[in-house]
Amino acid sequence: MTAILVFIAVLSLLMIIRREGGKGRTVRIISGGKELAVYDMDSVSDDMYITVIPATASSDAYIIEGISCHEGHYNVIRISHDGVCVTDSDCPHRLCTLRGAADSNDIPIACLPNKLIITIDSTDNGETDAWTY
Amino acid sequence: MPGHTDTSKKIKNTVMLGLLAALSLGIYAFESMLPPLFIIPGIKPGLSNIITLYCLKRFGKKEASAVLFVRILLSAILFGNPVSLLYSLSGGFLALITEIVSDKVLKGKNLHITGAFGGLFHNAGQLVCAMLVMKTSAVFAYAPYLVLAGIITGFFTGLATSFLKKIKIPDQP
Repeated sequence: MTAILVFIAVLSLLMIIRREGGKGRTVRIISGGKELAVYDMDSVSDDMYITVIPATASSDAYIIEGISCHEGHYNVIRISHDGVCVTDSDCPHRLCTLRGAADSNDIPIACLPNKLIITIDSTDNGETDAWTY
Repeated sequence: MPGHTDTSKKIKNTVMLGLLAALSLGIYAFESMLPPLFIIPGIKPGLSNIITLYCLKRFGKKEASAVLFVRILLSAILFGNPVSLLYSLSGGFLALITEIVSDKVLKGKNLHITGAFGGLFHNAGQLVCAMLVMKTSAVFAYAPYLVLAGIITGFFTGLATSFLKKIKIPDQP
C-alpha cells in the first residue's frame, strides 16, 4: 500500500516538475463548458477589460466588454500584451484573482463557483516559424 | 438488567456521534475561514477528515457515513451553496469508501496510509465533480497538484487520528 502511494506521489511530482509551460498567445474564455470568446494577446495593445456573467437559471452565460457593474455573479478579466488575469470577482475565496496573471498553458485560471475557466493556447501549435533547407 | 445497559450504551453512542458531528462542523467552519493555501482551488488541510476517520475506527462504517453526511449537509446549508454540496458529497464519500477499503487491507494499522489514500481520493472525486460541473476537461491540468496535496494532507490527518485514538474517553460519567 505504501509503495503504491509513494509511486503515485512521485509520479505526480514528476508531472509537476517536468510540465512544459508552453507560452501561449490565444486566450479562451470558457464558462460552464461553453467557449464564450477567444482573444489573441498579440492583437491587444492596451489593457482590455471584459466582464463575464455566468449562466443562471433564466439566462445563458455572456460577456460584456469593459468593466461592468453587475448585481449577480461576475468575473472581470484583464487581457494585456503580457498575460491574462482576473481582476475582480464576487466568488467567496477569490482564488481566481489571487492567482495573478497567466501567460502559459501550464495551469489554467479557474473560478469554480462561477464555472469559469480561462485557458491559454499557443497559436502556432509548436510548429517551427520557418523552415531552412 | 441487560436491557438497561443496552439502552444506555445506545444513548451514549448517539450523544457521542452528535458531539462528533458538531465538532466536525466546527472544524470545517474554522478551516473555511483560513486564507487559501495555494492558488489552485480545492487544496486545503481537510481537518474534518480527522473526525470522519475517528468515527470509522471507533464506531464503524454506518456511523462514520452518518456523521460525514450530517457535517456536509449542515456546512452546505450554513456556508455553502448547492454546487459546493455536490463537491463535498463526491469528495467526502469517495474518501470514506477508500478509507474503509484501505483500513480493511491494512488490517486497521498504519492510519496515516489510510488517511493519505482518503485525501487522494477526496481530491480525485472533487476533480471529477469539477469536470462534470464545469463541463470541460481543462481542469484536469490541476490533477497532479491535487493528487500530491491530497496525499500530503491526508497523511497528516491520518496521523492526527492515530494520536486521537490513543486518548481514552471515560466510559462512566
